[in-house]
Amino acid sequence: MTNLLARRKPLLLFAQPPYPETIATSPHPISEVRAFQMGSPGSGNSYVILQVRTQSGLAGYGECNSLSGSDLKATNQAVVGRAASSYQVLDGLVPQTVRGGLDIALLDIVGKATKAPIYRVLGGPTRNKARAITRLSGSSDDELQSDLQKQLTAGFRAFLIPIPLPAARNQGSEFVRVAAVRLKAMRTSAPNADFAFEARAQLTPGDAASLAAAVEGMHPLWFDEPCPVSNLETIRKIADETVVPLGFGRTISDPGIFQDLLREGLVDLLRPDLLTHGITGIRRLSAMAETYYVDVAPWHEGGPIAHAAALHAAASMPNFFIAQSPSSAVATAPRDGFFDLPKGPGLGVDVDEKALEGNRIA
Amino acid sequence: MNRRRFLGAAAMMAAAVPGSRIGAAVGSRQLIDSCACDPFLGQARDGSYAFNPNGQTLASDAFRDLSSGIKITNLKVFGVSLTPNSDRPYVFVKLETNQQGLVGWGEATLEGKGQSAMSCVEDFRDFLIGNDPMQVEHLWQSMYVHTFYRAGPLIGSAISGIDQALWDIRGKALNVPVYQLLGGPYDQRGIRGYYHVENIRTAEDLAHLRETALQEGVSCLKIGLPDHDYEWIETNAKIDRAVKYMQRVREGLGSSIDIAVDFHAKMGPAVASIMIKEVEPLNLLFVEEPCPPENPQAMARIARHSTTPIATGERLVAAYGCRELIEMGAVDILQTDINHVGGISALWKVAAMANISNISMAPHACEGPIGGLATLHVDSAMPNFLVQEICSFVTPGDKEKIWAEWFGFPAMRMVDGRVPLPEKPGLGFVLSEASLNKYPFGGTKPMEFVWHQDGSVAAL
Repeated sequence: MTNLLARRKPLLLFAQPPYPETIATSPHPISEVRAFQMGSPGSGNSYVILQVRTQSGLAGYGECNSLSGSDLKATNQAVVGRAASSYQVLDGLVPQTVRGGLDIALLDIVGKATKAPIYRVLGGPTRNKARAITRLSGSSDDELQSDLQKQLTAGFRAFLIPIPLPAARNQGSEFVRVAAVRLKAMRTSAPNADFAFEARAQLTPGDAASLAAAVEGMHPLWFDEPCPVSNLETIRKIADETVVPLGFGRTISDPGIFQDLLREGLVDLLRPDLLTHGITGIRRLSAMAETYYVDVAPWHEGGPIAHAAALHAAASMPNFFIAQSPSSAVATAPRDGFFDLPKGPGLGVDVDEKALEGNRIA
Repeated sequence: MNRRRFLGAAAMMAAAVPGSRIGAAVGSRQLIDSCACDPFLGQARDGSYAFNPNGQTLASDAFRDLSSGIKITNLKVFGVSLTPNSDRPYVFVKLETNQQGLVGWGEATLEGKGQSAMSCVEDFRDFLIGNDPMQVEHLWQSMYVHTFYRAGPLIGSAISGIDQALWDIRGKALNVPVYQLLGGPYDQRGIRGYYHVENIRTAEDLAHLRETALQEGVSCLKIGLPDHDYEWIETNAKIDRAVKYMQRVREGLGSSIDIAVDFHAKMGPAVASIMIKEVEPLNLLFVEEPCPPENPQAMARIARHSTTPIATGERLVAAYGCRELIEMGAVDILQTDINHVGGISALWKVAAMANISNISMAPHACEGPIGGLATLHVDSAMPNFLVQEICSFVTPGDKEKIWAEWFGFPAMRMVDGRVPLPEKPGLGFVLSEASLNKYPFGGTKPMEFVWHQDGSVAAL
């Protein structure tokens, strides 16, 4: 009997979350995770490059939105010695801020180790190019129009337009008129282009619904973050009263919120932050969104590594819609509205380590 | 994406003179077999590829610049009956490539529908030959979407077998076991499984089972119900017999072995609810298929009546098939089967979606060993994995000997309570066609016929 109980004891571990000893230590055990701050933290135009090195001599890169020294330390404690290929498993062991970047960096390693682009590791490509969109910059209609012409020449065919914000809450007709004029003027100057408009979660549901109703006849691609996702009922007003597709997600870190939005029919395009969720997290969201016939267009404000990761994500999901060109990096220009897919192993990005050295987070 | 293309087409349709274009196209060979529901036949559209009813346009044509260089050159289907009367001849799929020695195996077994499953796999030949096998997700979508009717169990099983073979090829081509492509393993020691319980009649039988199970490190067992059939309203005698049976098993096995009970969708929600409420104090690991699978609302009714976890899903296809159950909170554990749900790709998606609702995964597996080995890879990369079904008993039977003969190792046996992960590239085995020859296809044989006392039809 004692013998049986002794045998039973290890089985009790089954009921527990994974113990570190259950996690594989090969292939490609991680030797170190380093991080480099790009741009000034909090400037709105900053991100962190993550470098994961393996004992086998490989280095993978990812990007995070921000990362503290203590989170970096915790990350090293959690992952050093573990197999880089266990990217799904390691995701659960590190601080929230590092998850998306770590996922990208580990997939970069898996791709380099197998000499395949990440999308091939993941069963893609599901498409041979990725539809591109860029955000027009400028604060006046004239500035936006001039940027539109510039970006058309650069090869973009779809544009995110910032809408003029109302002077106060619930502005009614004047706000709707000014915003609709801006959008219609864009359509007139580029009749073959497509437009989405973004409100950066600055509108009340009432203003957002009125504006959406006013422009739905011009068939915008979608309305991006019209108002904050604080609770579902706030969004229902916009979703019920118009047929303009709604995009939400850049501030949502909990997949359960996406599930609620989908279940209630309040979202038409998922816009999860690539650096929060990583390629894998976004693919997991995409698996759910697929059952609602909803597309995914990952969003991020990172640099060239994140941009490459976004293209790999695009090519490994069936229900990807569009990749947004990051503002902070020189992304390859699209050709006639589409980005080419990277072809090299892993992310297919060469990183100059020496150029990063001065930015290292201790 | 497709939505935009559709909008563009809709706008053109609005501008077209009804009938004229269709009239102009009559007489072309393409239209004879067409439903004529595409009024733009032969028209240029906005860069979208390839409506081609003659099947000349391969997916690979659009991916020439991104090709891995590997191409599928042949598709073979094997019906393998371990006994001439088997109701579940294994349907094995083999894909061959243009690379020397690079082949992939998968399993498309569908119980009671052997010949249909084999034919259905064959029907996908044109979707595959000449394409790049590395593009599993792309080919999966093509098989599912271009089939038009999407997929039920038959088409789902065929896609499953092909999907597994494609993953096998990809793992081998990249020289890693499939679980590494999926980001696993959560537990490198292997996959926790459960066996079925057979032939317990007496308290001694139970005590013996408990002892052997614990010695083998088995932490979970599954039982069925004592009667062969249940109606949608049941008698006191049968309800009582079922409840007492479950109680007896719990007493005999003690609290240290998890017990799952398979209701096998034999009854409806009314009777299932009564039984499940009665056995709540037994803290079962789960009750499986307490009612048939078509109606999530009925399943939700049962789930609301009890704290006992409800498991279901072995007959569901694709993540689409599980969405409503998840939304309604009608299920605690999903049991989609890698041989029906749509292979590795679909099982992974179901698990990903389930995880967002904190629903666990206990994948079903009651067919052959290829699906069994494939499911281990996916299990090992699921954060919400609970336990893997092993359709066998604590003491192995004849079929395991045959499996071991094919692969050179026992395919689905636990060591210290876990099935070891296959470590070779791909799905992790080498199989020769010749080794299957001893078990030729015995034809389609139906599953069990079960009748109620009055001769009416009962669920098996």
